[in-house]
Order: sequence, then structure tokens, then C-alpha cells
Amino acid sequence: MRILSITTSSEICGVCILEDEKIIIEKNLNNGLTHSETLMPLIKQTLNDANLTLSNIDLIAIDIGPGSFTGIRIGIATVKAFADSLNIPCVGINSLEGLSLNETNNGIICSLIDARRENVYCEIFENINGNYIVRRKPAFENINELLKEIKQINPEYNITFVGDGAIKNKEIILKILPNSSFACNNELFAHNFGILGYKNHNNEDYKNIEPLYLRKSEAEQKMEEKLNANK
Amino acid sequence: MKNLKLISNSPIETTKIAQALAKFLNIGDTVVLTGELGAGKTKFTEGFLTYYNLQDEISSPTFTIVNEYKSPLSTIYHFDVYRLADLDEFYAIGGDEYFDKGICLIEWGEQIEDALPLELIKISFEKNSEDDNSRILNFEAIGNKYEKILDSLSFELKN
Ligand SMILES: Nc1ncnc2c1ncn2[C@@H]1O[C@H](COP(=O)(O)OP(=O)(O)OP(=O)(O)O)[C@@H](O)[C@H]1O
Ligand SMILES: [Mg+2]
Repeated sequence: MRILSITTSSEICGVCILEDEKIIIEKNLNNGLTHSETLMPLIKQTLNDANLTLSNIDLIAIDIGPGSFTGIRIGIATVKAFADSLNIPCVGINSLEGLSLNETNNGIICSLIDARRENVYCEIFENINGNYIVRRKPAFENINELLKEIKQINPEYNITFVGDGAIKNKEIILKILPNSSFACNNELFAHNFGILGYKNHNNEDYKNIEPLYLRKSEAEQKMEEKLNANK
Repeated sequence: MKNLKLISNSPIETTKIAQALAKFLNIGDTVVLTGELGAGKTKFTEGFLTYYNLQDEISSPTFTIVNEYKSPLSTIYHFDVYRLADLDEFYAIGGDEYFDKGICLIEWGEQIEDALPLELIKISFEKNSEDDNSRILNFEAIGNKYEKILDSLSFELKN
């Protein structure tokens, strides 16, 4: 199966073509330009370099976030346009899951994507021989509260942190969870989304692919504060 | 210093203060401008842009939320968030993605307080009921980096 995978939820605009789980060609650009300027030419160039056209693609795997709102929307809109006009099946993959594949050793992996103001998008996995099992669902969290929560469960945890949220919060992570380690690669790469797309696709309707924002809306947040105050 | 109070007796003086501040700001820095209608927030931004020779390009961002001014030193993003319905709308336009990309000047920024960087400079403009051309500019630095910038600004304006 020939797969085209795309990531636009971070600063990197990435495109990869795979045959099943094997990378044929990959381009991950961080050129400071907006993804709206970069994505289409990059897809075209990647296909050209592989001597392929969109009609040779059997599946598109798209990064649905969390991350940059504008980036996510550009990626999803582009993919939906392809799916609509060329009838190519699509699969949406969350960015935290894509990130977790950067760490290949067995053990607990915590994906952290920076969400500013001491906030992160977070998901925790356990890698058992290449099977990444979700141990904590994707969520938007304050980094301090997240680390305290993990510490309460087990202060001796040996967790590998990955992502720009891991780099930014390294000091506090080591302070609260001293046994932590850090992944070498912390960026979102297009090929990870292709690999996950190959494993997870199930002929879902592309119309159902939606951005995963995770950040609570102002109304939800206010409601929560109210409920907490009444406790 | 954490606070700096400056008196401006004319639009030109406000321009000079803004130019002086521009000298010390870099990509990734944020300034919030607060004060009633006509207090001088846009005037200040105009002055800020003259430091980059971009003053001729200013237009009020009122209808676009954010205007972009490109200079070789840094892009300047001029926001007016007065008409934003709520924080969600700010995030939806990718508002917080501008903070690292250039220098952000945000009119009515207090309305999106929970989305702003934790460290920034706040300038509140006060009108004077006795004198149409006089304004008080209250600078407040939040964070170490910005306290140092206020030190530099205060020194610069004294000389
Ligand atoms: N010392 C001064 N500093 C700045 N502006 C002054 C001063 N004295 C008079 N003015 C006048 O006050 C007006 C300030 O208008 P400006 O558009 O900058 O206000 P604003 O704070 O941006 O208002 P709004 O909230 O409507 O955007 C200008 O017409 C300017 O010429
Ligand atoms: Mg104005």
C-alpha cells in the first residue's frame, strides 16, 4: 500500500511517501514560511521526486493535532480537498501519537507539545516491543499539575519525555521526576504519521476527520471553575 | 525596574517614547497597550513603527484584528482585539502563534489576558481632562527581561 503522510501541526511542514511502513521519500521543512505557502509545493515536489502522482496514492495519513490551530486546519483542508476530488481514503493521526514513535525503546513515553503559558498537550504511552499502548489519554494540562499527578502515582517512574514541551520544561521535569530521561528527536516527522496511518486505517469517511484541538473553550473552562468553586 | 511613569505632552512626545522602546525590543517580545478610546494606543504604535521606517504603512487594525509590518530586523504585529468576542476567537485565528514570530503590540490586550505570554510589558495610557494633548504612560514590566528593558528605556529617555 502506497501512503502519503503529512504533518503541519508544528513549525515543521512535513510530507512523506511510504510503501506500507517503509519510507520511500520524505521532506520535512522548517523554512519560517507559513504552511499555507509551503505545503502544496512540497507535496508536488515530493511526488515528483518519487515519480508518482496523487492517483498512485492508496491512503493519505494526516496529522490532526494538537498543536498550531492554523497549521492543523491547513493540513486537514488540503487532504480533504484531495480526498474529495480523487477519492483517496484518508486517516487522521494525533500528533502526540506521531511524536511518541520518536522514542523506540521499550518503556513509558510521555509526549509533550508546548501550548504556552506553562501548558502542554500531553499523552502517555507504554511501548511494549513496538506496540504503543495508551496509558493516559490526550489532554491539555498545566505542566506542574501533570507532573505532580504522575509523581503521586509513582515518584520513581522511569519515563522518557519527548517533544518541544519536554525540551522547554526539562528543568522542572527533572526536579519533580528525577528518574526521567529525554528523547533525542523531539520534532514531528511526516513518516511517523505514515507508519501509524498504515497500522490504523479502517476505511473511515474523510468527512469525519476533524482537528484535535484539546484546549477547552472559554465556556467550558468557566463552567469547570464554577463547579470547582462549589466543591 | 518594574514600573515607569512617563508624561507625554504631545503626540510627538509619545512617538519619541515609542521609538525609544523599539530600540530595546526583539523578536518574541510582547507589549500590551491599554487605555480608553483615543488614549493614544495607535499613536504609540505609529511611533514604534517609525523606528523601523514603517510608519507610512500603518492602517488601523480594527477591522482585521492583526496587521503585519515586515522589516529586516523583525516583523511587527499590531493587534486590536477590541472586537474579538472571546478567547476562543483569538486562538481560532492563530493569535497566540504570532508571539514567537515577531514583536507583538496589542491594543486592548487586557481582554485576552489568559492567552497572553506570562511575561510582557504593559503600557496603560491615561488622558488628562485639563489638557487634550497630555497623556500619562504607565509602563509595567512583568518578568526579568522586561524589567531590564524598562531600566534601559528610562536611562535612554533621561539622556
Ligand atoms: N500626548 C499624546 N499622545 C498620544 N496621542 C495624543 C496625545 N495628545 C493628543 N493625542 C491625540 O489623541 C489621539 C489618540 O488616538 P489613538 O487612535 O492613538 O487612540 P487609541 O488609544 O488607539 O484608541 P482606540 O481604542 O479607539 O483604538 C490622536 O488623535 C492623537 O493625535
Ligand atoms: Mg487604536
